[in-house]
Amino acid sequence: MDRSLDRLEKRMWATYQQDGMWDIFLGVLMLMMGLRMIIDHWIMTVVGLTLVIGVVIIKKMVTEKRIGMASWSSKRRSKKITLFFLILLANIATLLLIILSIMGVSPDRVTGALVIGGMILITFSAISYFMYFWRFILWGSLLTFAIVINEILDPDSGPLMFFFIGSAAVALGFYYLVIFLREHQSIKEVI
Amino acid sequence: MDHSKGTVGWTVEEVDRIVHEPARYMILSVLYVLEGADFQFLRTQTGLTKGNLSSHMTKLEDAGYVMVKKEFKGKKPHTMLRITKKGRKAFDGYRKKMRSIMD
Repeated sequence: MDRSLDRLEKRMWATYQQDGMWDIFLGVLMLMMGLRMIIDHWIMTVVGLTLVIGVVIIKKMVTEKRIGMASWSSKRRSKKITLFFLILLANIATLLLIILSIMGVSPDRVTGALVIGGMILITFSAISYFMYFWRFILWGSLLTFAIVINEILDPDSGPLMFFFIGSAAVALGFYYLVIFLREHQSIKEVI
Repeated sequence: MDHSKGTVGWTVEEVDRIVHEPARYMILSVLYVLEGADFQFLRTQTGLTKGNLSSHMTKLEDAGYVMVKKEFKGKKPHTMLRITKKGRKAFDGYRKKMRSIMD
């Protein structure tokens, strides 16, 4: 497939990311992370999960209904599979770090923060590359910065950093969502 | 050298008028890079109105360049389109002709 058609396919794939829902999703996650630092209760995890699932459902019912449905090429499908395994790998690595920490085999705060921060940045950058969604790098960078600041410099600043970044992400997400809803009206199909 | 084709190498009559129409060219471009798309997706990507898109869909289907599958999802109609082999060949042929004078 020549380059112009390749670019067209990438642009069409990127339209699924224009709705601001990923920003809202990440923002909600970060707000929950900040809240969890203050209110250490299992109910916060449940609230967080519910909100995240809610965002995913809204994306299916609102965004995809307005943009429509496409059957992507095998090349695009294989990229989606690669992305899935990348996210899975990142989650496994995080789980391993948590297990090592519980077992008492953990690095010092500085090394731990840098390792986790690095993993987050690499994962977000890779997701940004596969989804053609540059804001993932922005949120990944800010999240890494917040974790490093919290772990190394000022532990008390953690919740504030997560609230600030999470709120910014949610606000920006809603801004893009409003633009998206205005541009893509839901239609009744012509038979 | 076949002088009836000029220096371009093809004649105006050889240009596929089905593909040549800008709206249909856009529809075929979208379908070419996908394995299929529904009516709403095509409307979103091409910016065509419902009536316009429907009319061009019919012309492409009549030419055998796209396959249209109409079904119901619950009570809502749902139309999926895919480009056929004939459509791909016509699209490739048209682009080759245009590239020969534009590149």
